[in-house]
Amino acid sequence: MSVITGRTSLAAETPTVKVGDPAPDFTLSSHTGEEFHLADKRGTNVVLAFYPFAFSGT
Amino acid sequence: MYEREQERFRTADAQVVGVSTDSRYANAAWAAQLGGLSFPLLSDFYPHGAVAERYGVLNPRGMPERAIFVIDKAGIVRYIDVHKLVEAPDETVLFEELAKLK
Repeated sequence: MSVITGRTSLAAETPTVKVGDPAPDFTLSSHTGEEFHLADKRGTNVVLAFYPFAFSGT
Repeated sequence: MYEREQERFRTADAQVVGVSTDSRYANAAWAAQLGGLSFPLLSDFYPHGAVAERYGVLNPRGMPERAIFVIDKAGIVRYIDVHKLVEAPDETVLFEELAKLK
């Protein structure tokens, strides 16, 4: 899919999370095989960027 | 944009993390194609899309929406932006939100 840059924000909350909520914790493996545990990142701001598919544009 | 702007994210004390339902190996190949990445791409592979679902951004067709969550140093969600699948979020707003945190 071709990806354009834009400001069409569809929502500022989701069915399960809204601003002010504690971020749901998780542990997942990275592309280099390291474990990433969200709770370990306290003290750092985190930008969690969901994307549909690898290779689908940034 | 995320790799290009790493310096600005560092200045904002922010760690970027990408999440999709791709396998670790697809993500590794994509990172290599992009010339290497300094931030992790995470595989929400099994149970499929479980983390995306918990965040409320699993598209019914099985992949995450293009969405950004800014989480502050205390683990609280401070900004949410859900985008169209074909549209990459504009970074201007993101950096404005990060500047509010510090």
